[in-house]
Amino acid sequence: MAPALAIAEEVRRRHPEASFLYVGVAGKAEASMVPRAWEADIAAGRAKLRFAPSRGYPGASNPVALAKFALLLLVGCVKATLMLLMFRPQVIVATGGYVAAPSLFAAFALSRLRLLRPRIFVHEQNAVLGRLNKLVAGFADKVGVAFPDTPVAASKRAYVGYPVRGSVVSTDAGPAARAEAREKLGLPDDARVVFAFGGSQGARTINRGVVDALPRLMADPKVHVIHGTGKRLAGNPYDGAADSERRIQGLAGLPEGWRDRYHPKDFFFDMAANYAASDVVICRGGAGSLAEVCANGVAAVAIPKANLPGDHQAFNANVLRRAGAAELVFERVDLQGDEAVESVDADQLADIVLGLLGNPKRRRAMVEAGRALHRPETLELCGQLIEAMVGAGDGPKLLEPPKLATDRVLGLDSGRLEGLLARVARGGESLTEDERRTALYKIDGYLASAGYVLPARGCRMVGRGRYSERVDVLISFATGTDGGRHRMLPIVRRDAFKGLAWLGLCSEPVREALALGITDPYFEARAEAVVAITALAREAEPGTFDALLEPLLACTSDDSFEVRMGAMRALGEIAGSFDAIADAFRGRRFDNNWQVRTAMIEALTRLTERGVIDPTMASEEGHSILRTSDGYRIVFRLKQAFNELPGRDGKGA
Amino acid sequence: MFAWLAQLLEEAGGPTLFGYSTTRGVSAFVTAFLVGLIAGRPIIHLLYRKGMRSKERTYGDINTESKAGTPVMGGFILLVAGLGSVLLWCDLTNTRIQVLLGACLWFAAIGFLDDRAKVRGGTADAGMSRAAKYLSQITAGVLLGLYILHPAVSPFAPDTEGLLYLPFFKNPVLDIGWIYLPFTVVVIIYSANAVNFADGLDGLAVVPSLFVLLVFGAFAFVLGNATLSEYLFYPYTEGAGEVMVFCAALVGACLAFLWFNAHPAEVFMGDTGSLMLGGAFGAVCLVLKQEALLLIVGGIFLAEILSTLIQERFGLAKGKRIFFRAPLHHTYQHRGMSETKIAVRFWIVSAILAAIALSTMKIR
Repeated sequence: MAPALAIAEEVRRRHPEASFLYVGVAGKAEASMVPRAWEADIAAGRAKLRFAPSRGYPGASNPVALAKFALLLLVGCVKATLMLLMFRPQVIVATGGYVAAPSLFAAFALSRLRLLRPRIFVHEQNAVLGRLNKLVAGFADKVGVAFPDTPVAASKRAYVGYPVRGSVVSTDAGPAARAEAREKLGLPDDARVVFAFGGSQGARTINRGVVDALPRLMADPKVHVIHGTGKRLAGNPYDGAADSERRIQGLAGLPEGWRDRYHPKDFFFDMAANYAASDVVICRGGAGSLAEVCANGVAAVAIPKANLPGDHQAFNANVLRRAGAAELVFERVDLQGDEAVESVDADQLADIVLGLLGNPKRRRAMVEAGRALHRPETLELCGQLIEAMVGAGDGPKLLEPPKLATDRVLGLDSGRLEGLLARVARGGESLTEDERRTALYKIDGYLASAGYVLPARGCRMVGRGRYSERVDVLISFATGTDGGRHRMLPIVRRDAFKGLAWLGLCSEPVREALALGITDPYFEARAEAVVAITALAREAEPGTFDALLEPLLACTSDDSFEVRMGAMRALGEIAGSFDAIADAFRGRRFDNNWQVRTAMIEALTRLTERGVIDPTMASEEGHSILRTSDGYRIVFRLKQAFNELPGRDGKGA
Repeated sequence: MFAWLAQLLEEAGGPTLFGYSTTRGVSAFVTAFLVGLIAGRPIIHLLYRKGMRSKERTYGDINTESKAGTPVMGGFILLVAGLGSVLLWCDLTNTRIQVLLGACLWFAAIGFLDDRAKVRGGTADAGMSRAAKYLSQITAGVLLGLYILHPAVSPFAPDTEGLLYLPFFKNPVLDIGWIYLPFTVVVIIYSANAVNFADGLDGLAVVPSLFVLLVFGAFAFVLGNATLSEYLFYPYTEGAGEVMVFCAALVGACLAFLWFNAHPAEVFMGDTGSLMLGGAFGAVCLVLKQEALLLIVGGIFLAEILSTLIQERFGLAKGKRIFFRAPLHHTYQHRGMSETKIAVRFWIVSAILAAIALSTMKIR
């Protein structure tokens, strides 16, 4: 809403005779804000506020909610059509969000029917297009973007920046302004100032992260922390100030007199002074906050809110990181029961903040990079674009956006990320530390998803990426029970074992999980558990898995051939003598599945390699296993010869 | 065409040999087989040159790489041989034959569009949208249902259009009236897609289809023969004998296709072939009113489609697998059984099922 009003103000400045219609949703912020902002114009009859119902897309899973949504949208569209027909606008400005949906759809329908042809200007504040804007970008005339590489067709995109309110930007950025701001806020001139805030109502993750990081931050006697805890509004269960204070009571290891250097506030009347006085800002990844940070020239540590539509805060913050203007600390989402609980690693946050405070050169570089992203002329550009749309003027000359480092991880879908991690695991590619952390953030999101596809994929990726810090998650996914029943779906358990095999950790808890795994009621989970035992035993000290010998012997007569097969191989890896497994081996000599018998011969090979049995005996035992076999496979010589052609590199036909 | 010539000949006092449906049935079978053999290789070469080649698809750890690149849309061999022979030997004034021809072409067209989309999209998952596929099949089913139910065009005697026959029962069990319309839609969609699901290994879909057509051919002959139908207590159905000629032609075409499709396959039937075959015998069982027989004689198809449904609805929907892989033949592959062995075993089962289906003629 704020960008829309700012653009309207700019148009009014250029064309005082213009009239405005704001179409909003009743009961939302615009119902009170717009009449206040446009008081004089409304009184003079040059501006109006009207309402058309709309609501956010509820997803396709709940048909009742979907039907309600469709009905409401339909009513909204009819209302908006009538409004547009009466008002007959030349230009429609939409700044994203479902509030704009009825007007945009109505405008589209009217122009298709050739009843009205309003020009449409969409402004996307985030680094990724929202759901509605993605849809609307197809028929909008121009799409203004706030970030340099928001994906919009080149013919329509206009890099205009974010309309930052003048009141939150300090006019002068020099050392004098800083000293003045610090004096005003009562901070010493040589202090190292950290300014943390999470929006007007506060952000639980930031509040808790900052409080948890206090012992380490306060250990430096020059560090001052301005902490915006947020003001509790009616209807919001979260009280930032109280929550922070409660958490502080539980802290240990704070130095003497730290209270004088910790400044909690629930609301800021002068953001500009706070920005000017700070060395490092800790904030969310909202487009507005980030634009303010860039405009004010402060080094930023962004903590994007997870679980948002399109993950837009993470994408916004990542643009600043790619430009070199910010550091990122990702939230980790944990499922506690049915509730998703986000948290940040306070140690990581403290590391990054202290690192920045101690490195003025790096901070200066970040400030420079941030300033390069700031466009002070945003509103002027928007005004000129809108004038050009109605045929007045040629439109502004748009600057080329700065080139940023490309993003290899955040923009990937889960399947491609898994492919990337698999290539990295094979040694074909490598990831930077930042990319590894970004990938882990995405994996945490998958692990906390509903259903089985994404959590299972997350488990595999933990293993592929060798994220040993998540081994506890894999163990709890694989074996966690809830009232005697497994907490996770069977396929998730299966892939948790797969992840454990790839992770390659052989600790006591992992071994306990594997012992439970070979008795899992789901056959594929059992099979992956025995495969994991084989893989881990190969790397571990001899004797590590001795305790699993008995349960593995039981597995050799499992109903599923996959389990029998895996158990045979595992026995080949862990058995200390042939006598221990002889009965099980000879008992399965006539196993109907040739793959089980093949696994037995492979096990004999391993036993020989490990020096457990001598080759003559292995050969005798192996001979008794052969029997006739239907494992006969035809080799298609033509294709084989073709694949061996130089230049094919085994690419297949 | 020959049926028409035979009629002219008979009127002129010549031999009546080609007037008999049995003679024309045998001729149709031989013609289709020979046409298939002769036209097969040029069609395969044409498909190869046009780039109509199958795409690799991975089912878990079952690698189909060795199959990638085989020409697809071999259904054209079935189409050219089968329908060519039908045009030559069937009485084209018979409405049943007209409807069957229409159904074949309709489903072959759906399959062709699907195959082409997959080839152009570059992956086996880039086919036609589900909605388009099912909508076109539902349309075909509705048209067929109207043909059977509407008194003006129905091939059945008045007041018997809505009757439902079951194997092992002498008399119609129910008169379901207009419910017959959705019923035809279900039958035709089931049969077309069942063949589609079964079409996963060399020769796996075509041989059971051949048995289905053989059995329905036999039933068509009985129903269309006054003496036999009276002896076996079937309602004598005028014009049903012609359906036997149609089935014979398609059996010949299937054999010719198998000539090339036998492991290792030189051509796959693709959706063009599987939808056409499934659509064809779905329509055949409808115009003969022997729908339930399809479940017996096409038991292989039933198993393939049921295993897929069970895997998806009761397995994957609850986050687990019930079969190692689905459709069923992939389970056997996963267990390590070789492709030819699976195919031959499925053929044996379908031969036994065909024998059981034939026995229902007498055991009632």
